[in-house]
Amino acid sequence: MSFQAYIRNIFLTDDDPDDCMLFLEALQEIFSGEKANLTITNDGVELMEALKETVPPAPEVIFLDLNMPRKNGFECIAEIRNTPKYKNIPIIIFSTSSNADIVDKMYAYGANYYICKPQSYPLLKKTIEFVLSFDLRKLSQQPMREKFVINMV
Amino acid sequence: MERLSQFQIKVIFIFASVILISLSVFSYLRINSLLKSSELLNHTNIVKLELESIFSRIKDADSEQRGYVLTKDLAYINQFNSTIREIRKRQQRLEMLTSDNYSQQKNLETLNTLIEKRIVHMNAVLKDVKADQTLKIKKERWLAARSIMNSLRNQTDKMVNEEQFLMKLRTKSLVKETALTPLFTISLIIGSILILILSYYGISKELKVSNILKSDLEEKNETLALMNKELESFTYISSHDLQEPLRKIQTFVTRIIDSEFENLSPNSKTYLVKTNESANRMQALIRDLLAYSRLKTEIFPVQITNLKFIVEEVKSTLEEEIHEKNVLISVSGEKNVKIIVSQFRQLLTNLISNSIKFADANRQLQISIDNKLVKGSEVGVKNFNIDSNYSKITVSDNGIGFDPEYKDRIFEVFQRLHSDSNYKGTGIGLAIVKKIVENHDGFISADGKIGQGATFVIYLPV
Repeated sequence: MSFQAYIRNIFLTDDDPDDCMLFLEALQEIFSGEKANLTITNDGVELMEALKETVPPAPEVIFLDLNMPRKNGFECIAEIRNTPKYKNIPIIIFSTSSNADIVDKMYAYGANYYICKPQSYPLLKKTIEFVLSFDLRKLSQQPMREKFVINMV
Repeated sequence: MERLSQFQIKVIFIFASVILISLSVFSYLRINSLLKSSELLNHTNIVKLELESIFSRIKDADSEQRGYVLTKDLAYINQFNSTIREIRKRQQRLEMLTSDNYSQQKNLETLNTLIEKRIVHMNAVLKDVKADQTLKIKKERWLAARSIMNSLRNQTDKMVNEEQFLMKLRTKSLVKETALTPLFTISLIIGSILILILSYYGISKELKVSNILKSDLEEKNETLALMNKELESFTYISSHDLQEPLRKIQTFVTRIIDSEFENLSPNSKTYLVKTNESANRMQALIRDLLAYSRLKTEIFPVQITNLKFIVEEVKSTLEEEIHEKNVLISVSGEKNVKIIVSQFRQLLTNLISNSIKFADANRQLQISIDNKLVKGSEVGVKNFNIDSNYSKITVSDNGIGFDPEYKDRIFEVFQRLHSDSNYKGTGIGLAIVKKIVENHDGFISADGKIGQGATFVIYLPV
């Protein structure tokens, strides 16, 4: 597997430590040997602070959970899309829920992709790998509604 | 508390209206007869007046004639002539007034003859005096005039009397006729007022009872709605929140299987695989339960759709299984159905995957879907409108079938007719199917024969 030469800069915001750990492990396996930056924040407030400190450079993508304490995913995405400095950062929703209403809402909010947290570790790895294989241009555009939800089998 | 029936209320009101109608008829009749008697009185008085006035005019004429005889002044002649014209007019009026009475007409004829006689007599006297200014009228002539005047007086009195007698006779019969009316009217009014009061009490009692029942029912409905809502959110939240830890279990188990599997003892390997399978099964259960609980809350509009398109969509969803088991699916009959598209698609998916699951390994599985229009009267379902049309959608297969004894139970949640190892499933699929049909205000029934196949018949309103 080959990736772009520059150091990957990825954000993950999720209040569930297990999910964060699994995500990190999956990412480590995907990038085995290569260098990559993963910034993990545990709620929306932390995410906004982290963005304030590090941007620029903007992260290439933010994986965002929806149900979080303090500031949830809905508030985060609204705030990011309304801030000129951040508004082009690709956001991938990373949630347990597969409720169609929520998916529609996130599409309307301007999320780039929607991942329903997979039921198995290999699937999780496969999904993250799939998303990170998109080039930046593809990632920063919103796809058609049918392709919005990424469902790996 | 004794309660009034709908029928009793109807009877009371019909009774009350009949009484009111008869009351108004009686009052009308009574007023009419009163009017009639006063008219009669009036008539009698007019006739009397006319007679009196004719008589007095004749007397006037008489005195004018005498005036001329005495003074020879022509003014008396003029006056005389105009009085005679007046008399003629009154005679005509009397003629009209008595036209409805034969005996008074006869009397009037006699009166007219006498009047004529008197006028002829007076004219003769005048003529004679005009011819000879010095003429002295003989006593006999004056006496004859007097006798005519007496007859005239008698005849007039006779007519007045007869008219009065007639009036008395008529009013007497009228009074007799109407004497009972006031009593009757009053008793009717009292009766109807009583009935109205009684029915007021009856109905207000009825209303009170039904209001109590209504508020009772409303309260119960509210509680029920609340309970339903709670139950719904409970199912939803529990199944949704249950997914979270389960997903963790699955992820960690697969994490071990993925990377550490080779380090495990054979026993541990078996246990871990079984743990994973159980977790997957639980996930399927939660997913289906969630789908089932969501069905009720979502309201979608029905639209007329081509059944073939829906079947094609379902076929592409189940493509893998259909291809794997070499399933033949055919569609026939009417093109259109009136459905909630997303739900009906789910229904067909469940039915077809059900058929595939219970295919007979010894023969190619054939699923046939047929749609035709039937009248409500042919269906025989309680709530269906006899005159309306319904779509009858039949989905039948040649799979292993089932014992018809279970044809109602297969639609219940978690009802399964087969043990786990042979046929996997959550036991919710057909419950979802039934619920979807109910969301369409339709009806579903199932029938089967062991070893020969199963048939599902769905009726949907058109």
